Amino acid sequence: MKFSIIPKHALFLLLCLVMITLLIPPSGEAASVDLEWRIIAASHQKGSVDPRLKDIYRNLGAIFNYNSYKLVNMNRVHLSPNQSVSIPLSNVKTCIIKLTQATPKWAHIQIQITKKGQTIFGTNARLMNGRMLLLGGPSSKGKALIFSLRSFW
Amino acid sequence: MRRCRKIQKDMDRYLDRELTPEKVRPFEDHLRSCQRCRQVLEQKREQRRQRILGLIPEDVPITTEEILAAVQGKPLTEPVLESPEESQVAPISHWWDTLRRFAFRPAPAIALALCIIALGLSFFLPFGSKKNREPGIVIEQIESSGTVMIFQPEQTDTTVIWIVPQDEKKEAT
Repeated sequence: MKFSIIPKHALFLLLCLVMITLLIPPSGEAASVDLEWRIIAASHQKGSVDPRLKDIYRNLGAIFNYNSYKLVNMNRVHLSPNQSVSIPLSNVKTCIIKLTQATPKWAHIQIQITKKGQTIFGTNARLMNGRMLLLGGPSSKGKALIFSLRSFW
Repeated sequence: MRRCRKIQKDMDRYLDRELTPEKVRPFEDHLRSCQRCRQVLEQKREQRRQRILGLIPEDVPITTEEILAAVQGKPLTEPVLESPEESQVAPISHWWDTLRRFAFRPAPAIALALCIIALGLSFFLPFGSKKNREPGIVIEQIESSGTVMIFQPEQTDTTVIWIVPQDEKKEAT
């Protein structure tokens, strides 16, 4: 095996560089994060699964025992740290999602649900890339709203 | 090491252009990769130049050992041996040379690189039992007017927060 084009030490140094890159854990702040949210209406009534939920249906089916899942609304927003997005859940309820911090490993988010301007639910959570947070309930007459949130960067 | 000894032995013949073309090519190839032999050859050339200019008398012998000692920057502690067998160049041992000779060979270098890459990947890929894995979502703080259930099913990479008002029973499993 001859390495006539690339000098041997250049090859060795290149390999060293690759190894160092792989071994050094990423650090610092990620610039921004993509947040994908969906509002899903789940029901025990016989029905179908919205084809737009195909990618997450396996997770929904493994967790809940609802028969039908309909996508009410979905969007993907690009957030920088300290930016927030307001999502209307119903006529009176609103969900506010704020990206508080973004590191290469975690997206730190703050979720607030308000009803007529009053906070009824709030949480601080951190998400790894691609992981899904489902926020749902309360269930009423066999129906429930599920809010799914995923972060990508 | 053995190669260096052979090359250094052939240096005088190389400078005298007495080496056959078949030997010249590997000789020059080695010189390109071995800094120490290049230095020795350069010293020999310089000695010859000085001898031609009359700076070194003809009767002063210049051996390869002397040149090597000069290259290494060490004084000669042992007398120069005269017999052909003993006057062969002693092997130069230097940790960097050894490392360079090993590391710059493609096969061991690639094998070593692959081992370290595999080791590096083991930190990132989810090997091992699932129970030891770090959760993908961490709920740090929660405030709710109703009762809240948080669960992380094992088969999924999902975390669920389920709000159950205190006066209602949970319907979801």
